[in-house]
Amino acid sequence: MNRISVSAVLRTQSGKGPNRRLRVMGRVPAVLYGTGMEPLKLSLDTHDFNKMMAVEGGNALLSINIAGTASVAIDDNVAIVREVQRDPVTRRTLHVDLYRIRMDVENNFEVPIHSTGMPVGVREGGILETHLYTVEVRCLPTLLPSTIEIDIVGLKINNSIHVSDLKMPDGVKPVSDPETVVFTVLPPKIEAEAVPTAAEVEEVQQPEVITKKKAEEAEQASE
Amino acid sequence: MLLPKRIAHRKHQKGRRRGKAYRGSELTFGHFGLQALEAGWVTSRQIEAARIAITRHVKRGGKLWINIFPDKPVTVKPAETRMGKGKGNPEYYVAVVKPGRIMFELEGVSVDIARAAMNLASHKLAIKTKFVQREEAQATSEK
Repeated sequence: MNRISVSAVLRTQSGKGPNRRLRVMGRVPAVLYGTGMEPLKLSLDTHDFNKMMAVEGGNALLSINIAGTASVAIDDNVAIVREVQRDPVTRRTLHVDLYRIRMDVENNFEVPIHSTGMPVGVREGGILETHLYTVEVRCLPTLLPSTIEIDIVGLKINNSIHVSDLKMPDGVKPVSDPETVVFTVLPPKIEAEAVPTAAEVEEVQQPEVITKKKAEEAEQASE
Repeated sequence: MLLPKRIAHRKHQKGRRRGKAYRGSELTFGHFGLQALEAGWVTSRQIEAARIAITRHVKRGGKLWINIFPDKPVTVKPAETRMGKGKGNPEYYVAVVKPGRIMFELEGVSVDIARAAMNLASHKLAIKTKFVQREEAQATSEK
């Protein structure tokens, strides 16, 4: 997998106020951490970061170039995006966690699963349900695939594809449970819509109050 | 209609709906969803009406998830009653919704059908909503 160069700036201030000011200036606060290093507070260009995430996806290997840090002796700042915090409504990027990895050590990565083809079961009227969108794998960073492709054309109704059915590239081992379901084709729904009568509508059962029942039980027990 | 089976207290206090829904603001099950853009109470009748609107539009295809549950009782005093004399009787149940909450999720249909179904459902709710889809689904539909 290619490495993507990302330029970052060290930030000295932390907390709500300084980070809000950073976001107004078009930068997003980030942190770089990993084994054997002190966490570094950084800031990234929001536009460049979002563009990179849209093009490369969430599991790209990033070369972090920290501006003005001759003193920070990290010659190989290769990192992956571990977490992106976003605003729930506007989806604006609020904070990025960058996890520094060593290129010669195996690590766990989340790789997206891409399906190809339309299953036979869907042609017959079934519904394709995706249970797992990413799979956790363990491999060297140099062997990290960008996606794991799977052909689902042969999937029939009531059949499933499990993690064990995914074809991993050489040197890549799945960490997720092999029995975990990835795709299923559900049978077509035959749902007879029951039209409630007026009496049924009126007779909406009131929920049972737990405390009342307990008091009654206590009384019965005492008797 | 969705209703709690057992409750600890018959009457709840009104409460306030401040902030955003940081939990339940991501698509968990389906490819498409209906996200709340403002805070409000969604009644069990509204949820049922929205569910019927979605299932009727997608017909046999698609799988629907309802991520909200009306567990809060709302009391109403009878008409032409003077103030005081205690809190009214529980009349209906609501789900408390904050901005960002994914209320419905849908899978197994095309983006156009999902968008139209969610649009119909949004008309049954008393809050502003928006149609959302997974990033990979968005990329596929844009091709």
